[in-house]
Amino acid sequence: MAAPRGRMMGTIEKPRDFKKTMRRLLADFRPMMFKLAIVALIAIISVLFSILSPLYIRDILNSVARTPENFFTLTLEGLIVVDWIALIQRFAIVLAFYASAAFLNWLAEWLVIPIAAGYSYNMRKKFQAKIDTLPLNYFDSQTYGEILSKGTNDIDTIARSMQQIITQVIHSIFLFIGAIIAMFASSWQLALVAMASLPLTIGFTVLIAKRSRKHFKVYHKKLGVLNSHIEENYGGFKIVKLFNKEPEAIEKFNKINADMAKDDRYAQFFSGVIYPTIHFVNNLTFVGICVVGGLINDIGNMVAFFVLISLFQMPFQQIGQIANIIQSSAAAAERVFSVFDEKEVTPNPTDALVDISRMTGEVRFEDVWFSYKEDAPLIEAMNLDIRPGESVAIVGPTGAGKTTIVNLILRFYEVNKGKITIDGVDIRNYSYEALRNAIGMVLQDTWLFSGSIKDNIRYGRVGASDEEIIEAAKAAHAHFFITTLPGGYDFVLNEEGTNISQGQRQLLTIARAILSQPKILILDEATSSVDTRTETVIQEAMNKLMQNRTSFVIAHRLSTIKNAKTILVMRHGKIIETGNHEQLLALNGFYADLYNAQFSGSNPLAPLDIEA
Amino acid sequence: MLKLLKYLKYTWWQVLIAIAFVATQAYFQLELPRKMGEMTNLVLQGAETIEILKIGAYMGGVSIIVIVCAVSGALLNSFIATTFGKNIRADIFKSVSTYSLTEFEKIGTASLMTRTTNDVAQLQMAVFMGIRIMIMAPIIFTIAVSNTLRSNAILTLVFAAAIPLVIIVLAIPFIIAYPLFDKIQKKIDRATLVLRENLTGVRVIRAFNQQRAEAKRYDEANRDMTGTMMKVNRTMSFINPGINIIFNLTYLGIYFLGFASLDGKPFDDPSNFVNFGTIMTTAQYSINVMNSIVMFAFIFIMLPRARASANRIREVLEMKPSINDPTEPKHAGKTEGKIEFRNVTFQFKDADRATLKNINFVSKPGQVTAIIGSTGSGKSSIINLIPRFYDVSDGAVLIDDVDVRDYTQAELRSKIGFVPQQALLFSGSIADNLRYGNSNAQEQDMWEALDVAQAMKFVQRNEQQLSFDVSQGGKNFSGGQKQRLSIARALVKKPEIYIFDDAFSALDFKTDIKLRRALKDYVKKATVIIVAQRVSTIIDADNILVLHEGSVAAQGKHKDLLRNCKIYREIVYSQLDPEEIDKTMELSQQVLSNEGVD
Repeated sequence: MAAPRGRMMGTIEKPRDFKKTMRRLLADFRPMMFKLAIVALIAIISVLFSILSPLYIRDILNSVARTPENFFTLTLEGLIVVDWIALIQRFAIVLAFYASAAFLNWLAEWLVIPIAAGYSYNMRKKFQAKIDTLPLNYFDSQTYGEILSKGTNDIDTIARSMQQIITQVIHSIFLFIGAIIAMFASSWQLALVAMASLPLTIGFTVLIAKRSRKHFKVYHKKLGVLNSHIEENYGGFKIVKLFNKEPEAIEKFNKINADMAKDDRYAQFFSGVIYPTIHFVNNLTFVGICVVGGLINDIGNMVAFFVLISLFQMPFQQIGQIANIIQSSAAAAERVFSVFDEKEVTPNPTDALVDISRMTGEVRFEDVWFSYKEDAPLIEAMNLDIRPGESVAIVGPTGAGKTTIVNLILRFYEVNKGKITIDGVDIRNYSYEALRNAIGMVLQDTWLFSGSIKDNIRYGRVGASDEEIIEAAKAAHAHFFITTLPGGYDFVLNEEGTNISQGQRQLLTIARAILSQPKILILDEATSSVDTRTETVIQEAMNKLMQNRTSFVIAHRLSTIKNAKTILVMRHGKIIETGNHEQLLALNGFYADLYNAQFSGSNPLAPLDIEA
Repeated sequence: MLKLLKYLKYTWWQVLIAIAFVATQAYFQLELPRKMGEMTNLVLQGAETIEILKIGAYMGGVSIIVIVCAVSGALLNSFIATTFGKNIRADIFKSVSTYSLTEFEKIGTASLMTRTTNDVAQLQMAVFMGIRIMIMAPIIFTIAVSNTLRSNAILTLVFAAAIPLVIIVLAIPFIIAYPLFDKIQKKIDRATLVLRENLTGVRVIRAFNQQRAEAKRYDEANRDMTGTMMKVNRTMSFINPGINIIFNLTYLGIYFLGFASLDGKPFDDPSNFVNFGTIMTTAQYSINVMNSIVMFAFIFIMLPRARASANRIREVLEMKPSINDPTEPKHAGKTEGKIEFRNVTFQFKDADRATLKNINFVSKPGQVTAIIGSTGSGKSSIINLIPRFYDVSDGAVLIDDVDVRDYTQAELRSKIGFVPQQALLFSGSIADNLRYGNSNAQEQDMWEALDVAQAMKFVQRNEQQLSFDVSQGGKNFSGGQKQRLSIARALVKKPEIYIFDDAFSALDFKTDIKLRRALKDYVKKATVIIVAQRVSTIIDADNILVLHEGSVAAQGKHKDLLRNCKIYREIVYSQLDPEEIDKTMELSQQVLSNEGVD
């Protein structure tokens, strides 16, 4: 949650290596150098017009004051007659300057808009493409929210500031320089007065900014405390009510609230006092120009200087804003670049196998070692020999390494030592596409995307026909419920996936897997909070899926385990027992224990909570 | 929105003084151009140095007054605004504390949080800036224009022409861009959604080799969003140059009109020369006037957003809770914890069908009543009626022969120890969490409760034991551990009624049995209600209610239900193989009769 907008001295984060990041950002703009040069040219010309205008007005005023006969004549009665042509001529020139300056300013911004938009479009595209090439362990190191924030918020920050920075920086620099030149060229005394305002403005701004930042930090911390309290109380309001804790919660809230309001006040004051302070310096400068202009008897330049000073101060005051924007953009850019710089997955070998049509599905693990983290060994010296069509049930407490086997077969992670082969060929010799085409997957986490049911099922095989999709849905026992939905197969799933039930989602993922016609199947049986009837249907669908396929099943159902050719009992990443159900029971070891504890109460849902 | 301004009453005299400061500041700010005009005339007529310096000193003094007013104003404004925000926040929190479940669900937790923090902050900022701008802009405008009227009436024509132009230049782009703002937000959301799906579904995408399709999907959203953004930027690009040129034209126009108005005036009228200075003053005024118009227009841009926040806040403050205490509360004659559901029907407000129909049962003290049924059968609704999270639509729920609506909510809930389905722990130590059940609980009581809840071992494992900190959301504990702590918290309370809403789901069978066995001794004569999915949890209850589509299909003991109730049979067989059932029964009997199973 951000501090409200309008507070300039908010939490400005500092980039870690500003120079390097800025250089890289600027390098990105090199292809557009030509266009940017044109924009710069336009800016210079507009600045020129902006500066000439007050000087020209000065000349008009001086003319009127010193040689009024150029503009006025007297009638015989002593009435003034205005020489319209002369007057209009003079003023029209200034009008033309104004109009040109305004037009050029507009033109510059207009030209920059597509440049900035193109830049942010490309950055986003690159980001999304990068995600596809990152190894899976990158996603373990951060939360999705963090990665998402980089791809959206951070790129947004850069995009928005790009536009502003490009137009403003070029314009401001030239305006500043041009104004100073004009001032010194017109009247060095007045110019000195104008220059005096610089150190004052800087001094005040720095002073106030420091205090402001200090108070903001404290305010933010206390805001965090308040937010936590609110979140807990709102999220846990049932508990609060059940234990009659409302009065206490209110008391605690009021205390935190009052405490935070104090720092809020200081922070708000300091951010609100910057403008009046700068305005004060402006006023003093105004007075100075007035007095000195009067003393040197130069009204014309005095008037011109009022305008010149505002032109000269404007960019200067914007510098503070722009500096902040540049800083936050640099910080955001750093985060985005860090993603771009991440190592990618090993690319396909040049002679990768792509033909899987004759794959039988014989899977072997040969002396496989693997761990996610170096100091936490998971799979050690694993050997497996699975013949085509056999089903293997993987059983064990949470964290035992069951999903790891799945991750390795699909090559989401690479083995540390040893190799995995399909039909005798190391899976690394297949292309990723071929390997994954051969393996079908139904996971516990029912990932579907916000599209139609048809598109979601079609995800299983690109180019599948509508008939094939319906066939797959029927095989998954999903066809019926799909037809009861408005729009049937064209029904669109919403974002959170809540417009169909959890059980129905599971059936769709099974249909998807069926459509992919895999040679090897990976199945995670955990079904969460489904009612009895749907559960039975899901079980039937899963059974059909497993027929005649080499299947790796992370088993939760008794029937699956009992029917498996081989059961792998895993614990702490090792296979500690193998065999079929009867053989394992006879061993009277860990599996037998597990079976007695877990399945004679038969809760397919509970993760094992043994103090193991 | 104006209704919320009444919160300013807490700082009303500060508001008055702040307004006074603003008015003073505005007045004196405009003195500077006026004095400049005076000085100009003096200089043109040949003034002495001392006179120039005198005017200069006055202007210097004026500048100081201006900043003093401004800083004082900022001090007051910040106080006013933050106090405003503080008070609204406090009232919102208080209001929300009185809500029942219905109100919470109507608005939603996330939205409530945003309203308490973000929306209040928006309003606060609006008040802070509003006080200054809403007062200063009109005052500056009035003083400048009236001064001009007095000195050079004809020049006010320039203002009159400029104002509508400014409004047009501001209004037209905004009106065009306004609908686009909404669209952009939606398109940004869409692009974010697709990216998010790419992240959460990275395994599925790779497993199905859908990278190219996903890239295309994202590109569509990206392109769409960028296109709309460009449209908005292009529309808004006219504003700054437009306003600039109007400013400049006004400035120029004043000089032009000032000189042009000399036409036809008698030459030897001395006031003609005075005019030079006032023309310059007016030209300088024009800058102030234009600024004040733009500032004012800015308010109108901020207004819709502030109003939206204000409406959201008002909705929270004005929402009346649907569950209230009775005007004349009753107390129970005895405190045994007998629960009776008498012909209870319950229907949600906008629902077509009733969630519960004609529920009748009695839970006696010392007994365990179990409720089982498939998802959506109404189990949770039944137990939500007991602590009055909802009220019945028809019939009555009675505790110790008194309708629950006749108790004060505080007394009612003090009788009940409720363990919800999702264990919710608060940040603080384990002891803090346990004391939530009973603030006077001693360490001994806490250890006893932990022991019964099968939580003692893992609490003892940490060095700090009871002082061990629970992190926000209880993330440093596993699901099962959280549930056991949640149970322990209810146990510490030692109420007459225990309600367990599927509270054993994260425990394995062994722990489940051990816990319920220890519970039996601990609760002694209390009434226990257990809602469960798992047959093995409820298999030995004294009375089992089988819920089906909102009605009680049957109630009784397990053996009888197995024989007589088809629905019960279905549920049981879907979970246990027939041979398993007997085994389970055996196991439970063994454990419960203390023959031990370890």
